[in-house]
This record gives sequence, structure tokens and C-alpha cells, in this order.
Amino acid sequence: MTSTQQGSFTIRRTFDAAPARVFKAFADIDAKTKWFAAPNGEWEQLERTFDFREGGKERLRGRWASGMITDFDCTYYDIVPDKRIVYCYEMHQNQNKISVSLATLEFQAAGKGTAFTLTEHGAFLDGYDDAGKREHGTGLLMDQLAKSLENQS
Amino acid sequence: MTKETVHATIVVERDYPFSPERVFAAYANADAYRQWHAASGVTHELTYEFRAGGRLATTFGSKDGPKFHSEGHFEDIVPNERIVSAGSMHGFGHRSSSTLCTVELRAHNGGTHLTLTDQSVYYAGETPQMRNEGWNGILDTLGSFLQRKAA
Repeated sequence: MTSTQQGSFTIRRTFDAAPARVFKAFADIDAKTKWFAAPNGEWEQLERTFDFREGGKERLRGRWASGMITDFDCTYYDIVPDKRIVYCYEMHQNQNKISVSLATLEFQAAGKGTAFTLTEHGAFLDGYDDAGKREHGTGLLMDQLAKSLENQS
Repeated sequence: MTKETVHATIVVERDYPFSPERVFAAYANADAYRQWHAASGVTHELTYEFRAGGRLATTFGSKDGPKFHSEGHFEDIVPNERIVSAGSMHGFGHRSSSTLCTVELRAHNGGTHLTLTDQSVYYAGETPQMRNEGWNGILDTLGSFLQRKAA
């Protein structure tokens, strides 16, 4: 019997970088690779595609030291430069589709910096993951994003 | 200027006096789906590849009113149990929303309990209230369709 758990979460951050720079950290593969990655030595990249346009797809598939293969399979739905990015992504672990999510990123000028809001809606399939764990993992990625923005300035 | 987005989750539930297999079949077959998914409106065009990763695109509307276009994919299908789809709606001359939609079917009291969960971001034009009314009309129409098929 299948099980499905829906959940949503919102993460708000303020970055010192201007909206155009924060947006670029999602829109440019080199800028994104600086933070959207696993720690060195713990993970081997197997597949990477990046087609940042409405209808375009992004894929990041890799094998962890444990042998587990994870696959981020993303389609961009809505892009407003320096303002908004909406995408749908599936997460796979080994042979299992563990979730389908709809993510909205919003970038707003706040002084010289950016007020950033990430809102995710998820359908978590068959008990492999849940909204709480996903929020935690996404928060860690946002920490890495913040660090990558500091390093560039 | 980009307007503020609205995020909302809508849950609509129905009990149908038919088995999950029968209810699932109303989704699994494009000809069946065409007969109920626009509620009281008209389906102008339908692309319906009912498999995970398959395309789901439809243009629909009321007979003389505005047309809406929805474009997306099936994300996950478990026969007689679950259908997950995602995509965007175009109406009022622009992209008006993006949606993650899960339909769950459970055998219940000799029939089927259907739970539809719509998780959406609304850009402009559409509202969660309109969406809620839309789903209620569609699921009522699905109920009538199932009755008609059984008659």
C-alpha cells in the first residue's frame, strides 16, 4: 500500500548581496555549483545537466560514499530575472522516487541586500522522507549559498 | 514589477460508491478523462500521456467564456492508489499559477475515498478560492460520470 504525506515550509534569509547576485547563484551553473553540492570526498557526481529557462531541465545525480545514489530531477516553470524562480523537482534515492516538490524562490531588494524567501510544497512518497527533514536539508543548502555569496564579495 | 505570490494548499475529499479500480479508470483513460475534467465547461484540446513523465496539457473553459491552458506532466502513478501531477496554468493572458496535485484513492465502505491535495503558487489572476470551487465542481462531475458509466 502506498502512502503520501504532503507538507510545506518557508525559509527566509537576508543576504548582503544584491538581488541580481543572489539570483545568479541559481541561474548560473558555475555560481550554483559553489553551493549546490555535497561535501568533497563524500559524493561522486554521475550526471549533471543545467538548462536554466522556462521548460528547461536540471539534473544532478550522484553516488554517496555509502553507495546510495541520489537524483535531483528538476523542471523550471517560471523565471522572472532577479525576482522569482519556480521549479518542480523529483528526488530519487536509488530506485525510489521519494518526493515531488514545487519550489518558489523570491528575491526582494532590502537596502543593499536581498530579502530571500523559499517556499516549498512537497508530496513525500511512501515514507522515505518528510517535510521536516527536507526543510532541514534545504536550510543547510541555504547556509552554503550564504557562504558562497560572502566569498564572492 | 512582480506582484507578491500567494501560496495555498487545498484539500478536497469525496466518497464514491465505486471501487478504486473504477475511479482510477476514469483517470487512466483519456476518453473518460475528457468527459469530466472540465466540469460543466468544454475541453478544446487535450494531450494526455498517462504514465510517469508523460505530458498532460489541456485547453478548456466555459462554452463562451475565457479559455484556460494547463501544461504539465504526470509525476507518479500507482494504479488504483495514487496519481501525482504538476504543471502551470495560463489564463487571463499570462501564467497564473503553478501546481503540485496529488490524488489518492482508498477502498472505503465498499467504495472509494478520494483525497485531492492541490499545493499551488498563484502569480496573478487566479485565487485559491477559485481553485477550490473549480476542484469541487470537477469532483462532482467525476461522481456523475461514474454514475452514468454504471447505469
